[in-house]
Amino acid sequence: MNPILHRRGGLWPYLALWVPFGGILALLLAASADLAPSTALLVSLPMAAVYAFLCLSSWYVCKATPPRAANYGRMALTLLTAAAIASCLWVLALGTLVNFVSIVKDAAGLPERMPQMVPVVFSLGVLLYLLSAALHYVLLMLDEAAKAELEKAKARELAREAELTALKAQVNPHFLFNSLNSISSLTSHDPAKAREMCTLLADYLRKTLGLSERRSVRLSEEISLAQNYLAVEKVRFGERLRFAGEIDPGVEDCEVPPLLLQPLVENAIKHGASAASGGEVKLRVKKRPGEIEIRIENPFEEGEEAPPGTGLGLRLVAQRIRSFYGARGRMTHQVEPGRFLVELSLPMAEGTH
Amino acid sequence: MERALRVLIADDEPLARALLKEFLSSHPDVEICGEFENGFDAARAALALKPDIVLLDIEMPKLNGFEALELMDPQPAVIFTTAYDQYAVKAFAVHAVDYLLKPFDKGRFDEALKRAARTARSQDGPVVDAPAVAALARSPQKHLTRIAIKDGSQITILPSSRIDYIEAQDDYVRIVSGGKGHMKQQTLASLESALDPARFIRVHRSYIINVEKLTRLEPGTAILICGTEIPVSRAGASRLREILSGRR
Repeated sequence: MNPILHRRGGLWPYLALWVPFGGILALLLAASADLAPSTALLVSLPMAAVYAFLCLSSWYVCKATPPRAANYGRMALTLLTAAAIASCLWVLALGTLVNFVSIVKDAAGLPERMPQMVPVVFSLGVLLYLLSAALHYVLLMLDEAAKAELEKAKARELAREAELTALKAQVNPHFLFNSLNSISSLTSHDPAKAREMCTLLADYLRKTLGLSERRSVRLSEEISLAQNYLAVEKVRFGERLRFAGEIDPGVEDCEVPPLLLQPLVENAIKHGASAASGGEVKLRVKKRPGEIEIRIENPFEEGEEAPPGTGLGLRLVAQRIRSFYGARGRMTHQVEPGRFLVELSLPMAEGTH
Repeated sequence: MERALRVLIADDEPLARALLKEFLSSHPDVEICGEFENGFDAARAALALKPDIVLLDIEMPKLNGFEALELMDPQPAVIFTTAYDQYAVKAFAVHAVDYLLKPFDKGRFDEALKRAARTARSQDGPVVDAPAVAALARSPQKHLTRIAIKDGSQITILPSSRIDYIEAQDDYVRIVSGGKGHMKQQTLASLESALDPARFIRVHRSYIINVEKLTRLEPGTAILICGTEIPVSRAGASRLREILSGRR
């Protein structure tokens, strides 16, 4: 619907805008066809009112021909044609009006002055129609800008939500309670190990404290947290879980979103430890020109409950990488016979935040 | 003196199993008949060992605790042991004797064991609702990705993607995959509701087919890649067409 009609109270200011145009038309008619001012006004004011409504139709033309560099020619042609048609209608309205006024006001000779009035009315008609089109273009663009702003805000909201969900998912109650159960089991037959487990778990919890409030952390912190987590899990699962880490020097200072690796490591352990023969979880961080590559690998048996890659956890990681690095960071995952691997490529450049 | 009760332990963590064994050691009236680190091994062993009581972790590799319980026959008295209480409602819905939240102390464990022993020694034995277990074995809002089938003392885990079609036969369903039929005690309707509706279509009162395995549709008949012809009702045909047109 036309934004002028659509907006409440938009019509009256618009019509008021047409009063001066009515005045201009009266002046032009008085000058070109030598009309008395009162007669000129009697003709021009209804004419302005009629054209005000006719010009509302330019909104449809504007909507159908959005201003794009590629079709300025077509746009001009369309607008001029529409203006000419509208103006012709206006001239027809003039004819009717002039006849009416000549009867009512007994202004003899008014119809005879039509030939002088028609060119004036037609050219003003075209001009005013184009002006109205310009106004509609401005309104359309304002609408679009408002819509784009709204969409942007919505996208920001979604990203924030994803962030929160991702962070909430980190405080994994299974991990905490199972670890406490392991400590409970160790106290009677291996008190020293129980104490070690307490320390490992405390270290891990301390490192995660306050982490979610930070926007970014150094990669070295993230890796140390992952190693800490693996150490706790190693106590729980014993020989069944093996871990191999291979970290290139010089990647420590890269900034990453906090707890980015956590869901990936959790996933890897879940499948790694459940593999029939036990499994090795591999974490490799490689320095490449301009970026770092993080690779997490674990054994995987076909027929596992969660087909890898479809998990919510992985999707959230991908989402966080997108919102943190934009197009410069990416995550891929692949299933190879017997193993599953996730690869992250993150930009190394300064000022990633 | 009554005979000793036989207890089976299923938990994927060695330390958790060690704790259970330690707690059980003070009970002379029970003996441990086996310990297992995944649901599949536990269920298979239970068919042979016929334990009176099962201490069952829920989140385990291969088959979870609910899936393992569904396969056990006769049904033992079950105590679930788990770290997190998201399954409590489910556990009681399948008439678990008790539900221990890790970490638990000896007093709480003894209480649960006493209750389980009473159930196991009672004339009626434990009451476990097998269809309820089957329905609860999968997490809500998640479609069944595998089906565990018991055939005598054999247990088969069938990924649902390998199913060709499913046929209703009285109180059973016959699940056909690669030319082999597997019988399972379940109704076609309950299986239908558990499977991915975008993939498994009820084409007939007695048949569900996997649309991935469909090769041709003729009036009244669906022809599968394996050559089997499945009768299709009128409603089934319209459901099928709807799914197929949505896939393109």
